[in-house]
Amino acid sequence: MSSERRTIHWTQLPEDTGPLATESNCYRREVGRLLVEGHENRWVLIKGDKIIGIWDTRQEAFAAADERFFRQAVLVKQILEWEPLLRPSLRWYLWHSSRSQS
Amino acid sequence: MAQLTFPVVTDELLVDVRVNLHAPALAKLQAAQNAAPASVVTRAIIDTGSNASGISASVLQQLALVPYVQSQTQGIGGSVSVQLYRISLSIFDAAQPHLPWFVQPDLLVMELPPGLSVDVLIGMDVLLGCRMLLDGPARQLTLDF
Repeated sequence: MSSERRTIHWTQLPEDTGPLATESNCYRREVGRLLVEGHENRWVLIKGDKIIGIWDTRQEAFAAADERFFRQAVLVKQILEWEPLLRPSLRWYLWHSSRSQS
Repeated sequence: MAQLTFPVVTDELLVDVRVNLHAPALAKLQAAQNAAPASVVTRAIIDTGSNASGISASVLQQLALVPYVQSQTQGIGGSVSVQLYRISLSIFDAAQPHLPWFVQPDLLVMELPPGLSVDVLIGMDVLLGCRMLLDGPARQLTLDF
């Protein structure tokens, strides 16, 4: 079994329809440019359709989110060419599978 | 090193937890002299097959949490976007709350699917911060941290 973490390329990011859809789709649209500009591994804060800022660490981006948009839905995301995939509980997969088939 | 011990009374690994807003949010509310939501004290299941911890929609609603991070996982037919929420999570012994607590002050969690018997799932992201010993014959789970 491979011990490497599974990833997808940024061009494979799916369109989001969830509560952060506006922010996520803004990120999908902008990530290529951000990578070319040399921001890989930095953290971006997006509110609505607007990039608020870019920071070196998650803590700094979270602090900015708390400062400017306290308890509001925002997107804080690391800018990556290869996006790591979460490995949720088997329970999540069973639920997602049943939901997808219904 | 602090230690918590839990009995294994079913075929699941269950611990007591307290969930609230992430610590910086609690500090900000406190500084502004605003009331913070009441903590949710419940049971959590330990799942070493998951690298992401999770909480139920019910707890999300009780704490009025908003998403902060969007991530990807592999679903049926391709990758799926999931939202992550920031919480503080404390593992403690509800029968002996004076014992040390294993605290994660700013943890990212995903929403759990409905229908689980517990409100919190603890994955490897939390477990990598402690030492876990399962003594099967003694039906005992110990966390050192």
